[in-house]
Amino acid sequence: MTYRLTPEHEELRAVVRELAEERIAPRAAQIDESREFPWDLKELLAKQDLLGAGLPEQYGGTGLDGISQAILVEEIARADATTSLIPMVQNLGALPIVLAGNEDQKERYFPRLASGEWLIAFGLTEAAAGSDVASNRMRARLEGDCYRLTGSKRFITHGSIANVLTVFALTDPDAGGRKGMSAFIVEADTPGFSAPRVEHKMGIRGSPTAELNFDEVQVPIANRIGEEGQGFKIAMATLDQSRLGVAAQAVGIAQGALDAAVAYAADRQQFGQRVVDFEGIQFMLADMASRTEAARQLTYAACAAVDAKVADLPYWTSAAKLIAGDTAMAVTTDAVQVLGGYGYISEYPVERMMRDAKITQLYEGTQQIQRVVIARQLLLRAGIGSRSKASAGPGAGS
Amino acid sequence: MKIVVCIKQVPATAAEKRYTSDLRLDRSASENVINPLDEYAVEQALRLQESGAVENVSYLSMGPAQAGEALRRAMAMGGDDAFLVTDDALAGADEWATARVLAAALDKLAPDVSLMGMASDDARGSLVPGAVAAIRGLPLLSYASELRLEGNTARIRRLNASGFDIIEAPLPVVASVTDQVGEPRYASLKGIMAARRKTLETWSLADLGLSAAGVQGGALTRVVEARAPEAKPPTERIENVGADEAVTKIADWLAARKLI
Amino acid sequence: MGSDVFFLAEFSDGAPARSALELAAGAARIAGESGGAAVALAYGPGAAKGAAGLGAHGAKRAIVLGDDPAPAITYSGSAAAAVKAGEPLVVLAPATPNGRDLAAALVGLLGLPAFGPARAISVAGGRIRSEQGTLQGTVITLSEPADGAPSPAVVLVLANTFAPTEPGGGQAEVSQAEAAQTPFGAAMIVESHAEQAAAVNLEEATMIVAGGRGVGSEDGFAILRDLAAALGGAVGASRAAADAGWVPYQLQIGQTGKVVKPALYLGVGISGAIQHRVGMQSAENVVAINKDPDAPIGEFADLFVVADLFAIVPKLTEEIRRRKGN
Repeated sequence: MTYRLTPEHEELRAVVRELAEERIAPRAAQIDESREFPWDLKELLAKQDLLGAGLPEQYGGTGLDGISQAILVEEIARADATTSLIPMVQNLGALPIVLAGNEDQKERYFPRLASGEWLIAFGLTEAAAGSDVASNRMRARLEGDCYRLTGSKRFITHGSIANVLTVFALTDPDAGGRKGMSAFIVEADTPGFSAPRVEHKMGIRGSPTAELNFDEVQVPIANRIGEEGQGFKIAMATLDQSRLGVAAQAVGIAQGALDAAVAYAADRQQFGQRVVDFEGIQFMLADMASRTEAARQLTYAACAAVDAKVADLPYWTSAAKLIAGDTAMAVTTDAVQVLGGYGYISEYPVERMMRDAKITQLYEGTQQIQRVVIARQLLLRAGIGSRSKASAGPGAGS
Repeated sequence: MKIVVCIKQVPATAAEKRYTSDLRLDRSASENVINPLDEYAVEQALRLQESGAVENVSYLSMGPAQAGEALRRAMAMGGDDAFLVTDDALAGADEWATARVLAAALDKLAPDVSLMGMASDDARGSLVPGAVAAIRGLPLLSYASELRLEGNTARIRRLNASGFDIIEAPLPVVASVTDQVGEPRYASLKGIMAARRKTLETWSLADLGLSAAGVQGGALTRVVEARAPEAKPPTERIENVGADEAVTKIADWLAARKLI
Repeated sequence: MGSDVFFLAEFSDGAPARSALELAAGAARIAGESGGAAVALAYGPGAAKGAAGLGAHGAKRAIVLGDDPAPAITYSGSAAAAVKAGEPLVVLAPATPNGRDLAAALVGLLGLPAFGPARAISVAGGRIRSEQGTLQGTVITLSEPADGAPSPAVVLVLANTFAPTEPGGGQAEVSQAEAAQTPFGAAMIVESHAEQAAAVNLEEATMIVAGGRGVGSEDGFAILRDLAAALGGAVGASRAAADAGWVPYQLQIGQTGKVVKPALYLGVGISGAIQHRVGMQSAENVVAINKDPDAPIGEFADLFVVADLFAIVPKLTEEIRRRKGN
């Protein structure tokens, strides 16, 4: 899989980086401490046309290619992981409609999502169904010309602030999760929908992670995405692509931590010299830098693979997310180490970056699930049938 | 109504900068940006366009070919088209040569307002607006904290030590603005994409009817020597002492230098 | 090409601006090196009456351009005619907005080489040499007119580069310039608003107490004003303090504000970012008070006090008053 970084990519990076350094980075510590969603930054991103990157121009989006979308998330995540979730989840939530929605649904929802006037979330995970998506229990009962959704979802990013959500529920419980699940577009102001609580988390604290309740929530048939029974496939196809957002976020977090570590080590003096002049520290920084670069390039290659619609797309996106997430965790941990005691206190950003990094190994498919996906693709390529348990499938926690 | 905003590409403030061996600014050595003070001129022009006072906003720059990046960035903020004057004979051009060339280009574009920032970041001379006005034979409205167009008149507010003056002149004029006109906008993504479709025209000296001799070979001045500033003695620090002791030490220090 | 040193002498409210007196002294010194005379180009309200008095400060002759309260650039036509007729070696202009505008007009009308703002001026081989900081003061260049360049050179000079001499005796020989209209005359001041008592002109102040984000509020600046008063100086501010509305914009020092060259710059609660530094780095003595031991200003200050400004500043004011009282 080959790709090229163009001057347009570099221009986009420069513009987003400027915005991130001037307006987002200064807010990062406060967002983490207050655990408040940064509405001001959401408005800023909307105004700069950065929330419609995954939507076609005809609906008011900017229709950016995969690498551009990755650069956008990466540069914001370098400044603040919480804020980078705003474009990430806007993309994730809309993907089911992008992949399987009809023209009417796109026209009704895309313009307001592209402009950032509305936020969208992705409602798949349940308390008892994380990696094991197929064991979802939420029901969607057909009643005349609409469905009634009943059940609850858990760990839904932005679930409590989204104006609209793409939600997955069983229209045919007897058929089981793989065959009996359907996808729906639910507007948050529909009676019966509520977000009773949000989680207290290790990291990405400004991003509300919500528990959602559906009590006979009415959804018109026109808001069902695709046919009944296609829900599981739509969810998997969505995650196959959206996990690149996580990869890009992880690369950005790693880069931010690396930059902070280098700057600190160049300034701090111990034993009569700069910390950065100790070879031991240089070795750590070199490892951090080369791993981050490797994660970045693999992510871009995966973006190119998605744009090229290659047959083994999940192999690429899972590999990128696996490598990038582990890199972010390792690099941020090392960054704290480089800063020593100062790395542990909240006056410096690296402890927050380390707490933020952990989620990239967990959501939109844990690292273990990513390995399942990659292994399956490997076996397919090698022509070896996998002794797959029928119920094992790539899962999600989002 | 038409405004042409003159912008200059300069090295980014925080970047490492140096002179080449022949004592010209090595512009390729660092990250280049739109001169920060010119961004305010861009912002003022765009606000006038948005309010309907102006139909057309164009950008003009004189510099090496890579100055086109600054023009593209300006167009990404808004505006309609851009013009770059570039010519080998202009390498190392000083303020008069710059003014001469910009004046010729502005005569060709004939805007109602030729707008500039009040100084450039790398040389801080700030003589270009006045020199351009002199060469073109137009009134100068400089150091404006606000620019308005009313009918055939340009009006500026200029701050001074005790308040402000309102100064007016009939169009066409040359004007320069300060940072008080308002925070420059960020280029939005759609702006960046739109900018790729806007025209950037390149002119040489010949296109302006000028010759290298006509701009005096580009420079009336020459740099005889370029060096690093004198090394200062290391900073004296007062810390970890009580306030009274610190105050005594500061006062002693000032007295030793006859400052009090 | 002659050897006289012309300089712009601005008058307002009947008296010469401090820049006029500083340039008179500087021009006299350079004229001594070049073997010519210091000649003032006087303009503004009070110029006609006051021009002769410049003789006490170093000027041999004075050419009066005009007396009206018009934007300085309105006088560029007669200034240009006087320069053409007088054929000086150099024209010194103050690096103030008015001075720059008038200098710019001369450069444009006559096609002259321009230099500065200069930190030092000398004469070498019959040519003017100007030393200035460029690239935010990271590089010092020494420049002179190129071979065959037209004369004179125009050099911008920052406040506090030359010290006015003690007024001696002597009157300058005064003459009137030929009036010359230029298109610049079309710009008119139509309204003048005074909003506050004219503060000590920051660009001319020899002592400046500047406050930044650490001062925290508009009220916080009160103790800075006291300290400035005790020192006999002016109050300045960083962009953060001006943007926050704690002080008027006119007090802002830095990349988008004023460039100052005081004998003492005392920065209080200012971190010292490059955008501020470029406005004050020519200060002779830099003292900084900041509770952050790693603030960037600590790297280029001459004296760096790591302390709480609210604990130090009032006591420092008292101590200075005490010492001065003695």
